[in-house]
Amino acid sequence: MTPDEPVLVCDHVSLWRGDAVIIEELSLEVASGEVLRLEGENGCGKTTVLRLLAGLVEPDEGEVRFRGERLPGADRALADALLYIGHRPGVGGALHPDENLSVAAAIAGSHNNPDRHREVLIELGLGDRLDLPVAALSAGQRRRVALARLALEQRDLWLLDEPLTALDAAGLDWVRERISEQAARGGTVVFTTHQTLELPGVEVRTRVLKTPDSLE
Amino acid sequence: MLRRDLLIGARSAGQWLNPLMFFVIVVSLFPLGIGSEPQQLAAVAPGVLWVSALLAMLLSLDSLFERDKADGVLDQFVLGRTPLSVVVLAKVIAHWMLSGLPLLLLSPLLGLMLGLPGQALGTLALALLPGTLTLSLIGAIGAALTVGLNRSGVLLSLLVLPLIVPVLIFGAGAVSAAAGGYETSAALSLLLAMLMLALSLAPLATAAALRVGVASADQS
Repeated sequence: MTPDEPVLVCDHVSLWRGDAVIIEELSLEVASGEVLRLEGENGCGKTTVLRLLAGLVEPDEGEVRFRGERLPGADRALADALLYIGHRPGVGGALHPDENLSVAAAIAGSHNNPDRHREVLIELGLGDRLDLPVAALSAGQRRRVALARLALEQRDLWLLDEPLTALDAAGLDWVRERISEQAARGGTVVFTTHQTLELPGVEVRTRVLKTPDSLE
Repeated sequence: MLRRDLLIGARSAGQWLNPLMFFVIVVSLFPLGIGSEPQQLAAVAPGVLWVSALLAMLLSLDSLFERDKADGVLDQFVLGRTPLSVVVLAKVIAHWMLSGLPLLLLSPLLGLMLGLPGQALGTLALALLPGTLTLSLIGAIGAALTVGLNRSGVLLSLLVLPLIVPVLIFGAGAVSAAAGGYETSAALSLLLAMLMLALSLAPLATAAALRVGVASADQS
């Protein structure tokens, strides 16, 4: 794939909930190897845009295309390439951190490697929390468990919703490194955050989303 | 996946103890309410056992996808490479092993308590096997349809109950027939047929309902 071919295209997408416009005429493109940061005030629809890009929500108007194919329909191709970590991190409260990662790998259809899971969790500073149910961990630690997948699964496209929330400085550095690596591999990252993120050697494009007029 | 849900279930005792306790309590209350004449009790026993078992199962159904949704795991189910209907089937089987199976194992004991004749006890357990499994499968559709709603318990019951009435009729029928010394294979075959139907269609329907639920769910 040439580096400039867009991986994900959002083409004049609008979305309504009842009478309220959630997203109005949104167009954006992400190329492979690109890191895109979505920014915007609370309630402007950042999470919804990510869910649209992941194919979890269908637009009412316009279309989302993955590698030129329209969603839904390119579901299989997208599922092979996508790593989505949502607003709610997607870890089950009653399970231990490494069990969560095994489950995530099973669902995602990736290779399950418990030893590697433990390694990454220890790297993330959760070494002494491996035998606790995730429900007993702090918000930041739970986020780390979810983010551990960044180091475990090799996927072309990352969609990360507020990956930096509740993380401390060390956690931030870790995520920063992973995103840089991903970009260096030619992978694509789209994430939402309110924080600015400086990546050494990688350009982060920022797109500011505006709240639709009707919601103001 | 199956292991995951069993593990979660085993760690939260309430999930599998609640339906079981409910079942035992309801069945135990009947002799107190109706009076303890053995003949009368034996006559209503098949119906009582079946109704209690179905209600106990229903009680545990609304939590089937609720936790996964709150944790955001449901999104991962939908996005993963593993087909959603397979994930659903694993979840349903886990649900059944934690709610239906204990009921099934305990039912002969409770049947005995209600004075059900010995030859009907085996039939009771045998009929509850496809019966409760069918209920788990059909209930999953209801749970998936109501996944985006708060306090979905009542709506879930309304959706599911009409669909499980046939199971109840033939299930209780089989047990009554066995108690009266009649042939039970017809009713049992019908129960099995319903199970097969549910087994082939319910995971697909549940998966479709979950996709809609995920798409329409509020973002936070």
